[in-house]
Amino acid sequence: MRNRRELLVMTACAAASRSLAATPGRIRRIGWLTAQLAASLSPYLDALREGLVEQKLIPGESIEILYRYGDDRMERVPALARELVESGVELLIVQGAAIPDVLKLGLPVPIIFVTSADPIAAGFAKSLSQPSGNCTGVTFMAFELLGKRLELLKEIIPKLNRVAVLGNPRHAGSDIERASSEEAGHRLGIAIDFIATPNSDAVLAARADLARLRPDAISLLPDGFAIAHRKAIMTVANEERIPVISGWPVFAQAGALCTYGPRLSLIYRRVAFFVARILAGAKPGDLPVERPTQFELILNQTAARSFNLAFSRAILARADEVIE
Amino acid sequence: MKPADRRSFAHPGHFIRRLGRRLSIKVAAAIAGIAALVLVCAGGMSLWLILGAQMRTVTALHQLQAATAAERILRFVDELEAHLRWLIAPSWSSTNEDDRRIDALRTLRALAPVSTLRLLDPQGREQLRVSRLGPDVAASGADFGRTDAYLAARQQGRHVGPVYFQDGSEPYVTIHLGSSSTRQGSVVADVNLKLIWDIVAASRIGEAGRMLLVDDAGRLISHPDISLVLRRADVSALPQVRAALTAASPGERESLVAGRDLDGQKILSAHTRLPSLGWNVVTELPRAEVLSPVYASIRLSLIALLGGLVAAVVCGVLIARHMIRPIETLTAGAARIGAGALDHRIAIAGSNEFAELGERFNEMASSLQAERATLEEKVAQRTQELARANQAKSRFLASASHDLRQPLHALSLFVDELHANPTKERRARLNDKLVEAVGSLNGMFDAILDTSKIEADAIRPALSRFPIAPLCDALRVLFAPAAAAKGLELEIDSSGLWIESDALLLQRILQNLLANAIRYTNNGSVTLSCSDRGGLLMIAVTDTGPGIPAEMQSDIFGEFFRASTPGQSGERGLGLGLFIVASFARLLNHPVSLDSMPGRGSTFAIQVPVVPPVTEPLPMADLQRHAFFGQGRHAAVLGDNPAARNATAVLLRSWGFEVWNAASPAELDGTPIDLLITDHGDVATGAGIAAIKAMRNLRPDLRVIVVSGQPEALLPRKAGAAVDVLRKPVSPIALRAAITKAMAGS
Repeated sequence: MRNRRELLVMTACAAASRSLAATPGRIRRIGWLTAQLAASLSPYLDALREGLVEQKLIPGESIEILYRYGDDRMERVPALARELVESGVELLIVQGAAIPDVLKLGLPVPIIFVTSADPIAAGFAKSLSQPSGNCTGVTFMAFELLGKRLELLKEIIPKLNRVAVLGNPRHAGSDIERASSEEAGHRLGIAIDFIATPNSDAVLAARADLARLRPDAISLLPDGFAIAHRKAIMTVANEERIPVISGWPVFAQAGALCTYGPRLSLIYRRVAFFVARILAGAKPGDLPVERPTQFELILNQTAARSFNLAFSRAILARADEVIE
Repeated sequence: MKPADRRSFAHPGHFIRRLGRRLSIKVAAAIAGIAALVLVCAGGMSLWLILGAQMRTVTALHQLQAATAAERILRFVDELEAHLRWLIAPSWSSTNEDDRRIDALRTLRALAPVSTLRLLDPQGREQLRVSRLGPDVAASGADFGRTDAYLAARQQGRHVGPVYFQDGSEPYVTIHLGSSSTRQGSVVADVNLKLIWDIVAASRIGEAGRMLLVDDAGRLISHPDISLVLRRADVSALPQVRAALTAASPGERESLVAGRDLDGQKILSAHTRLPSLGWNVVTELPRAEVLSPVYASIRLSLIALLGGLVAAVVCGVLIARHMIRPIETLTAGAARIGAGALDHRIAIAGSNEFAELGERFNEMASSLQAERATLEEKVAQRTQELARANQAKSRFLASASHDLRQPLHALSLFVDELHANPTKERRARLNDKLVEAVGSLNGMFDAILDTSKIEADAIRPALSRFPIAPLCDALRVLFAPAAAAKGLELEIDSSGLWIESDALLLQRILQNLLANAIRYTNNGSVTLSCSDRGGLLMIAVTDTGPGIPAEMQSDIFGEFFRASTPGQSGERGLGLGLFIVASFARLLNHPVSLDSMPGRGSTFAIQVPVVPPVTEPLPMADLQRHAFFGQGRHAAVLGDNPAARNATAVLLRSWGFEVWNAASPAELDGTPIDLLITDHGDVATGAGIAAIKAMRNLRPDLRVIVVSGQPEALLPRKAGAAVDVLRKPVSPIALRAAITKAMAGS
């Protein structure tokens, strides 16, 4: 008799729990992890949240996002990642420099990376079409664009001879980006100097390098670190009277001469698609890595004037936006 | 009632219910079955037509959607072409390099799908390359002039190259635009087809349908799930894609292709080819969605069919119940009537055949009832009659025993007187009285004998033709003394006519009538008259007696009837006379009539058929000479008792016989005798019989009359047929009648 009653109770409990599990209104929990400061990415997170809403995943209602920021301290990343996994997230969105460290942990949850690096060269995916791991994501095509930026610089500054590439060496694609820059510089007859700026102190230290090298322009590798320190970097560049080119409009707004790169908001929006598909049961390895399809050229007329530069008709013809 | 019948009606209620159920189920099933057949046929046909029409509509709709999607793809490419063609619209020489570059850059910025643009001079050499990602190149001079794509673009204006996948992921296509004019350059654009996704994703195919764009090699160019394209999912094996690739001439009307999408979901597909691009639009629509209106139709039809069937069954049951109820009533009624309740009546309302049948049943029951009542009445009547007859017989036995005792009593008185040695005179008178008493007894026994013979149906009339006159003479001789004794005038007419009848029976009839007439008439006359009534001789016996009241006239011919006539004198009959008359007359088929009124006397008449005279000698000539009918004949009297022998011998001699008196058969040897009368005790034994037989052998015509006190049954069989038996005591009249009969039978 007792056994039978226990059995009944257990069956009832199991049925109840199953019915809870099957509730369509259940809140899904995902994690967001970056090594950077919170402020540096907020516009793009808005784009991510808009994308989630498009995918019928409404933050706070049907999905809960746990945000974790390394605040520029890379060593915190593994602990944050584990903490997120222990919080019961169903997947992790990992941005930027934190990606390699997180992937090394071999976490049991799917990972969506958001990287400016080449995911294949960085070892995140075997191929664009078949990532075939527990992770997939989007790339900003940073290194492909470096050459294009140098080409644009050359067109804006016809006597361009020396360019300093400023970037965070801990960024996953920094080596290839540096190599790519050097290759493009060689093609265009431009000398390339790489100045590593792993932290805010290094930014200030870069001034000395810039003063010593006297480059005709700075190509700032766009990443979260650059965004976070864009004001400092722009201050240094302006004080040294060196025009800056970078990847994202936010730099043009901060005073860079021009930026050329993908529309980030579209890409962040696209991340929501990966979230939805993986939550629906798709394997990350089956979801191809997506690259941006739309790029924008932002010109800063004020900066050009301050350097006594004039945008040619051809440059203006390409420009998507000209900041006065 | 037989056991089998009883069984079938043992539980009439159960039987009826079973019958009703069976029949009603059959009728209901027949009605419902016919209705169902009609419903199913009609429903099936209409469903077939509806399904056909719906499938055609659905097919047309989705082919149209596929065509619309193809149109949008085509428009996308055409718009792209229109923009690009603007670059080469002016003649090559009329534009300078800077203008061309700026135009190219503007175009590149405007056309997001284009990743790289090349401008070729009229000779087919690359003069400008601008790119979104790659380096811009001015006047590389690369020669496109000999490529097939360039030549095709020159000839046809446009050439769309094969789809290729950039870095193994994003689908691209190279479009060459050119002109036949030698003054114009041409443009080559690399187009990222990932951007067609907007069109493909936005194309609405039904509710949950989608469109695929595949090239002629079956490679996926675009899909609402862009991941599949980027992953380069293989769709070439899908039936719908194969159908699209192997499709016959475009525009041919085809039905939807059944297949499964990459998720394995069942779909129906339409397709349209874009010949100018070498691409194919394939739509996939979930089968459930396509068929949902069809299923709805089927469901609706089934519901209607089900409703119809239910209605048919209900109607069938109602009609069957309506039809069966009168049959049940009839069966129950028939069972009750059959079980004997003849007063039961079947009530069926209406005026149909069942009501008619019920009426017939009721009529049958009422006639059965009436019949039974009549039968019962008849049985009661017959029982009453039998009881009355029994009473009459009892009364008769009482009175007859009394009547028979009268002469016996007289006889005993006379015998006592004889013992007292009376005087000679006195003895002679006693002798007369003795004869009278014996005659009375004889008459009574004769009547009883006749009656019993009549009742036993033992009399067979022997019809013959004879003249009436001798009979009349004999009657006159017989009844003259009695009439004279009562002082009545007896008048017996005669006639020369011949009649056909049984002489003895007719004589008994007339004797009875005359005896009655004399018995009941105290003064006046008794007349027997013969008159010819057209082929019938009417013989009437008329008296002047008291007459018979009309109410008694029908009863007097009955058995044991005796009119209680006050003041009747003389001997009393047993009341059998007229019964015998009526019975013999009926046997002879001679009508008897009575004409009588109280105080006016009575006339009994009998009608006998008249026949022509017969010429041959009369067989019964002795009737003519009744007083001497033994004359010329020899008779022998054989017996143990000499006194009895002598008495019989004297009697026979008085009738003219020559008589031998013998105590044993041996004494008669050698004597020529015609008639033997014996009361020898040995007759009852085998010796007597043997003696008779021995005498018979010598005298074949010998007539034998046995007078016996023993039961007569055995004797004729032992002695042979030609023996007449008289039971003791034998009156002279009885003996004479027997002799007459025996002699006549020769």
